[in-house]
Parts: sequence; structure tokens; C-alpha cells
Amino acid sequence: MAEEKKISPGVVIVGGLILGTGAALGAVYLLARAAPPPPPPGLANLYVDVIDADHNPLRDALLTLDSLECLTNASGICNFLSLEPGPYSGHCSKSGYKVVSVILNGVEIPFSDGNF
Amino acid sequence: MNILKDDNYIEIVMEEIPAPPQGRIGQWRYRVACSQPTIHVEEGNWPNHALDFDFDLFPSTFTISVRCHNDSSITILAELVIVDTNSHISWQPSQKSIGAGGSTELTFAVGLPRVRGQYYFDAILSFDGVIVDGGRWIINYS
Amino acid sequence: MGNDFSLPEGDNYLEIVMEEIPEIANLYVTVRDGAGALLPGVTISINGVPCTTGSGGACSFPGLTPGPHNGSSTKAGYEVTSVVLNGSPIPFSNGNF
Repeated sequence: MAEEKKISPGVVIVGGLILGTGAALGAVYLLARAAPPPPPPGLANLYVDVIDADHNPLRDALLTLDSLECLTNASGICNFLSLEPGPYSGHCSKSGYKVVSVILNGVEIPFSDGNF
Repeated sequence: MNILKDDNYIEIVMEEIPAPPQGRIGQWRYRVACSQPTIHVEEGNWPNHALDFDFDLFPSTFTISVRCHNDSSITILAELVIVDTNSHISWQPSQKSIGAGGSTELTFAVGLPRVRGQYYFDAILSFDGVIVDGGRWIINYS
Repeated sequence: MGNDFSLPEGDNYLEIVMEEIPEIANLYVTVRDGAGALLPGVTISINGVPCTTGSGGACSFPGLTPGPHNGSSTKAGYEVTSVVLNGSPIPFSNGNF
């Protein structure tokens, strides 16, 4: 199984909305995804877009990556920055909706009941 | 009707539609009762149900009547019709509505020729167009 | 728990597509006569789909969409005298509701 990862100094940012998580991180505002800072060497960023079947952005979808949480903004975006590369447990949920597709870097990855 | 998500429950009550009234002349079943048909003499002093009339004393005009009482909860249309007779006298059917709980008398007048003989009147009684009974009345005019 | 995916170093892009889960309504019908006895042989029709009650006086219509629907209840020699939906009377006419 995944060993405990060092999350720090990774942060979770959603268009100005801060979600505290169990990882006791500091939070930093990031104005937009337009120009996200590249991750420091050896680390990873994950930019998440949640959309509906008509390709419209879906807000208020709850993303979790291990113990990190993020709620998509009006643009359907969540950004997880400066993460340790490696295996993660992901989950996406929104009341009244179900996940039908998860694509990481252009490749479909398996999912089940919103877990990926 | 508007149903909500998840489970919805409907309870429907249905009741039998009331049957139309039925009966027999002189024998009451169901909800409408009619008396035995009687023959009334318009003049003179003859008892009811008389079938033998003295030619010399008896007038030639009679009324036939049937009295009905409606015990049902709906209004019915009762009709008494002569379907056959040898009296050779024209007549009109007697038709009346009887309200719920009400009574009425169906009557028609018949005339006999001033000729001794036996005359018959075949009549039927119907309620709301349904024939419920009939009979023959015979008058010996001698 | 999650299925686990592997996050490589550098920038990564994750696209998730979600679809609405349609809401479902179920309709359970019970028919009784004026004395309260369960009434078999009643044809219940919801949006033109018929069902005939058995000895239990019941019909079920699962998997409907919440919202307005047309219903009717018919049985030869009988007339509807009451329709109660989820505990509240609803209007009816000639067995249609």
C-alpha cells in the first residue's frame, strides 16, 4: 500500500476557496490556473477539471486525494500543487451525480463508484 | 396527479354502481312497489276489481290504475302501456316520474263499445324503459 | 478506498466527467370497496400502462419519473368514490385522476 507521503509543502487551492485538510497544510491563494507555477523539481502538480456530460464545468464536486480535499469552483477546477509523485487514492463525488469517466494525462484510468 | 421521488402510495375506494329499480306488479321486490292494477268505475257505485258489469246499469267508460311507491334513492320514470285490447278504443300511455320515496298513480281511461261482451286489456309496466311486468284485465260486459 | 493511480513528477492533468443520476419514483396502488375489503379485478392505468389488481387489491408502478402523471381506475359495475395520494385526497372524475 501507499506509504505515508510527505505532503508538505503541497497545497490545495481552488480559485480562492481554501479547504483545510487533515494534513495540516498552509494554504496559499492562487488566482487562476492560467499560469500555475511549475512544481519544484521532484514534485508533481495535479490540475483537475470536473465537467458534466455536455462538457459544462461542474462546481461543488468534492475531490479527495488521500487526505487532501478540494471543492471545485464555478469553473469546475481543483488544483493540487507540489505533491510527492507516486500512488494516490482519488475520489470524486457530487450529490445527484455519478462519475462516468476519469482521464489522467489523456489516458483513461479505471474507476469505481467515483474512486480512482 | 403529481408524484414525488422515491415511494408514493395511492389508496382508491370503488363502490358498486346502484342497480336500476326492478319489481313486479303486485309482487314487490327491490325498491319500487306497485299495487295490483285496479279498475275504477267513473260513475256508479261498483266495487274495485269488479270484472263483471251489468250492461244496463254500468257506464261504458272505465279507468285502469296502478299505484306505485318508489323506495329507491333515485327518481324513476314509470309507464303503463296497453299493448293489446279488443275494445277498439284509442288510449294514451300513462307515464309519470316518481321521485325517491314518492308515490304516483298511473291511470288511463278506456271506453267500451255499448255492446255486451268480454273485453280484455293487455298492459305492461316499465321503469326507465325496462319492462318489469304485465298482465291482462278482462271485463265481462253483459 | 480508492483504486489508486500513480502521479508522475511534473504537471498532470485530470479530467473527470460526471452525469446526473435520474430521480426515480415508485407508485404503489391499493383498491378497496366501500366496506374496506380489498378489491380485485380493478384495472389501474398510469400513463396508459395498465395493471389489474389481484386478490390483494394492489398494483405497483416502479421506476417512474417524479412529476405529473395521468391515472385511472376502472371496474365494471363500480365507480371511484375516493382517491388518496400519500395521505391527501386528490381530485378525480369518472375514475380518472
